[in-house]
Amino acid sequence: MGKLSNLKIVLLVLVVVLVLVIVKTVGKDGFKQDAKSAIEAVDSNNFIISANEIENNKTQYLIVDLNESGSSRFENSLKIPFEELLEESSLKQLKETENKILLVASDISITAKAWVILNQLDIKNVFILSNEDNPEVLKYEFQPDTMARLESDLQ
Amino acid sequence: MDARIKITVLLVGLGFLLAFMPNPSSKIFKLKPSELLEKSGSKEIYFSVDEVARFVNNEDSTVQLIDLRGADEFRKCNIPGSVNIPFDDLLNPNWSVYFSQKNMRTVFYGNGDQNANIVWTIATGLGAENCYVMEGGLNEWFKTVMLTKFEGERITPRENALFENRYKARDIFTQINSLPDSLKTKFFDAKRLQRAKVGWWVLGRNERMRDWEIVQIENSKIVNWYFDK
Repeated sequence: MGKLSNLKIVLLVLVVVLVLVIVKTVGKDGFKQDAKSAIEAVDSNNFIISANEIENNKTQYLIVDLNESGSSRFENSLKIPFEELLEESSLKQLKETENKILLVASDISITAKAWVILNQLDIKNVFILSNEDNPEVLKYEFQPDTMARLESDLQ
Repeated sequence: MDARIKITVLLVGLGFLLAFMPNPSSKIFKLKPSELLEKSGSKEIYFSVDEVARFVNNEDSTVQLIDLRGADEFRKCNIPGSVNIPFDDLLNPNWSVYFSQKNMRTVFYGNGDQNANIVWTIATGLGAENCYVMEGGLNEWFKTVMLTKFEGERITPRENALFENRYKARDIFTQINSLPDSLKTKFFDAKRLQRAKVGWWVLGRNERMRDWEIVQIENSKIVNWYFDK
């Protein structure tokens, strides 16, 4: 008992450090994932579902329509306007679903931003719908001007 | 109690704490989710391709363009003045200097809208300020800046300014991207000198020709550029 009381000050220091660590890491209601996970998921291209793929597998997905207004492209989709994405009721539905989550919107820039936010909140199985198989393909080819020479302009 | 025991207990305890602490090299978003969502919803994070064309034409030094495509695609063509940070290399610490410049506007672009918006969200979440996206990416740049023509009969002053801006950016884009890689670098070096001082400047030794590249600058213009033994 006497030995333990001698260790009091040491244990006190450890408890203070532990509390500080807990407050810094767990205390805030924030993001917990490493941004690297988002980069890796995009890189492996396993977060995009094309319009063709979804046609036959609609039942596998909880389709979340992020558009602010207008009727949804999919029947039985869950309407969560982008700015309400983090409301408690919205997050509850997304966390509790057993289906994969498919984000749809009129513009891929909305779904892309929503996907990163949900990914970093550690909500699993989130995908985005793309009308193209790969929206990051350059559709044009640059035609160089074979006559372009700096020297000819200058000398 | 022996001081050695106290110190040992303290160190072992701290060791356990360190073992369970998050990895300091991990990149966790600094912004709160609600803050990031609010910023994400703003239309002000976008620049149109016409606005970016104006930055290129004016050589706006408060804007840095970040091309998120792979190195091969970047070499084929890019918006003049861009820096290539491939998407999969985004979190490389070597690039951190581009995300910490508070007086610069950082404009991301890819071929489409997807990657630039993802990178915008990641960069902003990690605490970078003044980040923007070029709306529509290079596909929109080609469609609007490189390929549109005025087809009406009478042109308004506003349309005239718009098309003049596009044609000028188109010329710069074509000219710079048609140059061999070695000359592209030299061109930008010369431009920097052009802004700096008037006179004769040796740009460096051309590796292929083993000659010195020299430029003469007068009235803020390159008036001579040649190779010399």
